[in-house]
Amino acid sequence: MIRALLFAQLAERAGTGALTLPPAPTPGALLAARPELSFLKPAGARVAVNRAWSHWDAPLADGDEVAFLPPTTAL
Amino acid sequence: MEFLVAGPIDVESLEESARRTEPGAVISFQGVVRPDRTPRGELTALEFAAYEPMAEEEMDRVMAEIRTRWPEAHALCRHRLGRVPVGETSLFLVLSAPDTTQAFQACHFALEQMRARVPIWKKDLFADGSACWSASHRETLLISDSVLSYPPS
Repeated sequence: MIRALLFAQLAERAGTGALTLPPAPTPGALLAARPELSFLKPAGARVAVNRAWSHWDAPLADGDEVAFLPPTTAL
Repeated sequence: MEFLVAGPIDVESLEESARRTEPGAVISFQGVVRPDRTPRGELTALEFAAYEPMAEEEMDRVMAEIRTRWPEAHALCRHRLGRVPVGETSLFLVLSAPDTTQAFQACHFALEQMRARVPIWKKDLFADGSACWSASHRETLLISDSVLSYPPS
């Protein structure tokens, strides 16, 4: 399974900060398989895999942690 | 490194630590929550949230890159989480180096990298009790109504 983490406005909209999803080949495929989660990729959103910046088409393995990150606003 | 902190930042202690390296130049930067008036109302505070494990690890990497680029520079940085009222410091960065050029370059690098890479988000809290997640730049927030409703519902 894939552990999906949501933050900021994405977590508020989902009503949770974490989801458990069936494995998929890529982060993009995770969302493509579930249209109800398409809001996790708003304009400017990025994705991290296992706490490191990644890409929507990067390969995933069972057990990975995928974080859906809206545009950051530090400072 | 303890980059993220829950309460007020001990600025004096961090500056003193930076001076122990007997540098020729010390630059300190504070991000302070300013009392903006926006189309949505009067801002009273910002609330910061982070993907904490990744933010700590990413900031460690930024600091490591500073040590590689400017081996004689010494950097310390703290960012608050949670509610930070107007007038309080949300970010503190202090850079010490043998000379001014290195200190300024490293300071600029740290701020730019933090803005681009460290997963932290801020929410605007208004006097009427309402709140919204901030856009990347407040200037954008002030000139575009569409940004006020970000993300689109």
